Amino acid sequence: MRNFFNNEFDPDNKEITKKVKQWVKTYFALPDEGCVVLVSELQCADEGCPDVETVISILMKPEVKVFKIGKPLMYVRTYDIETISKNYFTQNIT
Amino acid sequence: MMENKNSIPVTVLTGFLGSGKTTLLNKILSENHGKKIAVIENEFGEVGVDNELVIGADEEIFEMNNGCICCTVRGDLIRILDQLLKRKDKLDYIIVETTGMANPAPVAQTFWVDDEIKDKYSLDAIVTIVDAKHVWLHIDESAECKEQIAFADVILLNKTDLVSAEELVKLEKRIKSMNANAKIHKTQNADIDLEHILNIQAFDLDAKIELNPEFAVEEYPYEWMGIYDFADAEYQINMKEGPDPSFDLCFVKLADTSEAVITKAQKQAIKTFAMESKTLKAEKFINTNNTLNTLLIENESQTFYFRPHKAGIYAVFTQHGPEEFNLELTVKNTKNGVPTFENVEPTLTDEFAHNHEHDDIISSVGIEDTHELSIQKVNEWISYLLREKAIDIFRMKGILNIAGNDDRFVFQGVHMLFDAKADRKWKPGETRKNQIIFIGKNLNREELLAKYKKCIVK
Repeated sequence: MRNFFNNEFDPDNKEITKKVKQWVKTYFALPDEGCVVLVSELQCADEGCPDVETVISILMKPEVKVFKIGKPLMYVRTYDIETISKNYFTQNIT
Repeated sequence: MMENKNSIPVTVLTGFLGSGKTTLLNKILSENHGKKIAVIENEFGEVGVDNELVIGADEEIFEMNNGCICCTVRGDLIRILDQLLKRKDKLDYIIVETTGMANPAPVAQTFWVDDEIKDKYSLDAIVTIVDAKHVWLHIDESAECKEQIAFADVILLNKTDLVSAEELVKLEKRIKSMNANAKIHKTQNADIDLEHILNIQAFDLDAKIELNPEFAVEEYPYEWMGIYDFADAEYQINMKEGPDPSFDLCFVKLADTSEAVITKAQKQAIKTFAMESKTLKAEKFINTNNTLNTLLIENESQTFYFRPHKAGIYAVFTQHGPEEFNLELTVKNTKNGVPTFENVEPTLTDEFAHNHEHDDIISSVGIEDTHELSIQKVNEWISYLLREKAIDIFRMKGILNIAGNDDRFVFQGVHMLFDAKADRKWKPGETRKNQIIFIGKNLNREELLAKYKKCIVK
């Protein structure tokens, strides 16, 4: 369960958000212009989902790509981003 | 939101087509406020003043979670906000105008989903303009119309010159029943002091959260009220079995029977009904001093007693209609050493619609109480609400009195996006109390209150 009032996820989230965005830009080879990356933490109500997951949205016209990582933002590492990018590129090639 | 002091405030302007949004926008832009304002609007081209930045948007909504309204944000808005940050001249304010048929949730959520956006922009308030004459065409049928009212921090009842005073009172009552926390301003031609709609910091956890003390006006947790003139004597309440295994009631002492005093007592009773109750078995004495009494109905027939803590006029509020339990009130008199019981009738009665009868409507549930809460239990409750009720709870906000902590705790939520923190120290002499408001659809007042009461430290 999250401890909402201790802000256990909050203090460093700004820095982590910046880092994760940079990793996403690198692994997905995104351009600096015309592309926005969003990093969010959501508490998912769906059965089987973890309590808190990290959602990465890449907004690049004409589409928005949404990826989920089944853990809180503070535990996201470069290999998570590498994995979702590899999966994405593999699926799009085949 | 825990925003940066240098963040750009954003006001979201909603309202049906023809309600007066464009008139208000033109007024904002043409006032000599010396601020650089950007307007992000949908009906591009309608508004435009020299030197102002007007940006067209296409209300592109995307979901971050499959089919859940709680996780929808405005993609076009994110792109525009990102672009605006790259401008050399800094903006002072942003106004986002939505189309008449828009649900405000994705716009509000856009400012909560990403820490960088939260840092650079601060959602100031949602302002909804309501056409006082034509809103009746939509208010019962249109989900968007209801959502726009429910989400608002400020509601402008515009075009009041086109309706009678009675119609206006009726509309105001209806709106308060849907969103008891919004500040309502009556306007003609959307004419309003901008200080009432801009920079009001409705979403700012750092600002002093002010919950509207009238928030519970149209939400009655009781079904019946009777006014009695009690003597300094022993009274007896006889009850039969009814639709519930218990029966809540409270007494409020009145100075007189004027309308103002009775209205005040009704509000007091709403608060008393939100307090923890004292459970009483048959043959026990009821507390008449602003206490919620839960009478256990365990037998076919039972009797409870009370002696008023002071003789005089009282309003008695009951959870159910007295006739549902064949309730009889008698006073004990002793003549020549022999006790007799005489029936006592109220001098005035009133009935109240019980909110759990209204399904699928938008309403507000307010809680105000001075008990200390367990931080762990509050966390469990909020987790449950976000997990199970986030679709139905549009907005919630509150101030909490946490046990063993000298800090005041505050929170805000829009659907499942939530922000909370320890705010400031309680001031010496300040009454430490909890004030919470939920606005949404299908809200179950009893369930919310029951779960709230479980957070109280015994």
